[in-house]
Amino acid sequence: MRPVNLLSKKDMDAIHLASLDVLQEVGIVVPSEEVLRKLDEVGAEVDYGKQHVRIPHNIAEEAIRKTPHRFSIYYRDLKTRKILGGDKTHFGTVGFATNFYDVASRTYRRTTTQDLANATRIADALENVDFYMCMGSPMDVPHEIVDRYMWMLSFENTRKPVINEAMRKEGAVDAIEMASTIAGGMEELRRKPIMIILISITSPLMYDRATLEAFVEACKLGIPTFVNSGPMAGATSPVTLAGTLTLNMAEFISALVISRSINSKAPIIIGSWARAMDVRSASAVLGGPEFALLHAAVAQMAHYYEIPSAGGGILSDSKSLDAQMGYEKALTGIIPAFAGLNLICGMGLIASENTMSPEGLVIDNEIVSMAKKIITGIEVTDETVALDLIKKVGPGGSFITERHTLEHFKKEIWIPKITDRTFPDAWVKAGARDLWVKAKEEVEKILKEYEVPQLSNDIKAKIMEIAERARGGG
Amino acid sequence: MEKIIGELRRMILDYDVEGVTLAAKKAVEAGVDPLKAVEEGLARGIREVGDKFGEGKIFLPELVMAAEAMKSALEVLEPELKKKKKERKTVGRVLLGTVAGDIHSIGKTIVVAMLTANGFEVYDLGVDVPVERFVEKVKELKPDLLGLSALLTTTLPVQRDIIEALKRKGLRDDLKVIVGGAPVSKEWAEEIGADGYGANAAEAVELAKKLLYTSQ
Repeated sequence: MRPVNLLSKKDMDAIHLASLDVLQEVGIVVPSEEVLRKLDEVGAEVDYGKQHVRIPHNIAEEAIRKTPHRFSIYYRDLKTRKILGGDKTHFGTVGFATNFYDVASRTYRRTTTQDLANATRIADALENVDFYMCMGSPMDVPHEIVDRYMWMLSFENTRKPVINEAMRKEGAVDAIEMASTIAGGMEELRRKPIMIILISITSPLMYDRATLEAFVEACKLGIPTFVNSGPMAGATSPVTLAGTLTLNMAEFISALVISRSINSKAPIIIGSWARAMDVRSASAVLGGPEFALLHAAVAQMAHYYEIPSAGGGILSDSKSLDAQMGYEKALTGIIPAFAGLNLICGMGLIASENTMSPEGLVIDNEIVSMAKKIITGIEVTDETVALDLIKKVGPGGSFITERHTLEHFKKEIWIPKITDRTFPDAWVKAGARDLWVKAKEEVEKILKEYEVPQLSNDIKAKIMEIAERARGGG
Repeated sequence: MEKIIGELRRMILDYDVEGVTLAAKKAVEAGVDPLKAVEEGLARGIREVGDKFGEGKIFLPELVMAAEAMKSALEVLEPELKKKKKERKTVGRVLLGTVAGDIHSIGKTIVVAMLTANGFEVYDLGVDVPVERFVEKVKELKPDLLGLSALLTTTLPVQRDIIEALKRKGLRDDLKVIVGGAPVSKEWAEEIGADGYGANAAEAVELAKKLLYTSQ
């Protein structure tokens, strides 16, 4: 079911052609000799001095055609599989919070490795988190190994597929080595990838050297990449949403060209964080209506190209677990889901992805549960139309004692976990508790009782060795 | 003359970069006192723009355009001020730039606009500015405040290099230095000996006012 089609076919054709023109006439900046040479080889116009590349229309379109329509990602048990691309929508956490929100005291502090380990474990326990993007950037670890620690803590504390950034070539090598240790070798990892490396493009139309190194390494090794770009309307892209969309798609297509030129078998997913600039503070708006619109549009363009798509959603700029968080997360989550975005990342963070909140993650789990229910739509069959039943029960009758109700209720009616439906008197009597109180109880319960299946001691030791290898700038 | 000064003010309020530049040239041709043109025309206009922004009546794109208009008109009128050996009254003189190796400018552009609207005299050196150029301009313009912007973790250390270079040339004590940009933190600012750190444009302006006020 894909009830949201923001763009008409004419609109999509226009965006498509404009994106191609951007690549052909404006070009991109690629600060990597190696990538420049690869692009030259596939027929792009390369200015080595300026590190500037123009990509002709046909080269761009060929790269889109050569991008796999979908690919599989696995849990670290190598059995549970998720497919990215096509008609399924998954939800995941988002990264990389440097702050932690303590809901009881309403205070902020810096993220620690313990926070990250706990949050990851909670994400593993929550049934509606399909993918785990490393939620935190711990501030108690030296900068040069923080990405390695993020990979390590993620692999140790969740079975779910891990998405994270890698710093430079060495960062990608180390992350891939950790994953192949768990998978039992590079071949096994390639056949059943358990991780995706996040690559960021700097809008407008610029790559940076360190990111390119990681991108190249991942592509060479056939490891899936998640290419993200977040142009900011009015700041790093046109203030008009169609202009931002055009620029965003041009950036993504350039990533497809680069990755195909290195390894046409490497799986890839585009991930948009296109956003508006707040016109009062210049801050990035992640919870606003433009965000929802842009990601629905990206989803549509990705289906038009038949390539896997991802992006931000279930996001909020709120600093607390309040009503603003509720409406922003719900609206930025459901709209892209309705448009069929394949992977929506946003669970667990608030304050414009700056801050992690375990209680927020529990609430997000509930929001996603509701969203997942909504996107299953309404099933229309003779059985569900239930004409015979309506005849049987007749005017003034009751359906509650019918077998049909018993047989179908679990599939048709959403059963919430923490959402309150009690009567007002009962709610007051129970202490007039806000949602976050219940979420906090759930957090405490999970941390006390839930255990993630452990990696073997050998694997854990090897992963730690890889993580520590980079200490001191190695 | 009043008519031309009124036009300068109105062009700022209309965010009309071309219009205000033409009006500034007209002012010079008509022999209007350049100090009056700047203070009663441009500065008055930008102050009104700043007030409206503070009240939430207009927004950043308008503020930034007004500052662009003011900058364009000043390019015409400042040489006239110099000729007549006159100096405008301002809250303070600020020199800003994005450090060498870094081409990010949006945050800086917004800070420039806000400082301008708050009555500061602002010189924007642009992006990818070498250490030596910062030092050279500090010597030449003698600003009250130097603002350094860096958006990459790789260019962040250049902020330290600039402060060190100022110390070596004996210029550090004559001005306040503030730093900004996404990877900048209070701890970093303290570590490199900056006088302050602004987490966003509005904070940068408050900080500038505070530093210049207390140093007077």
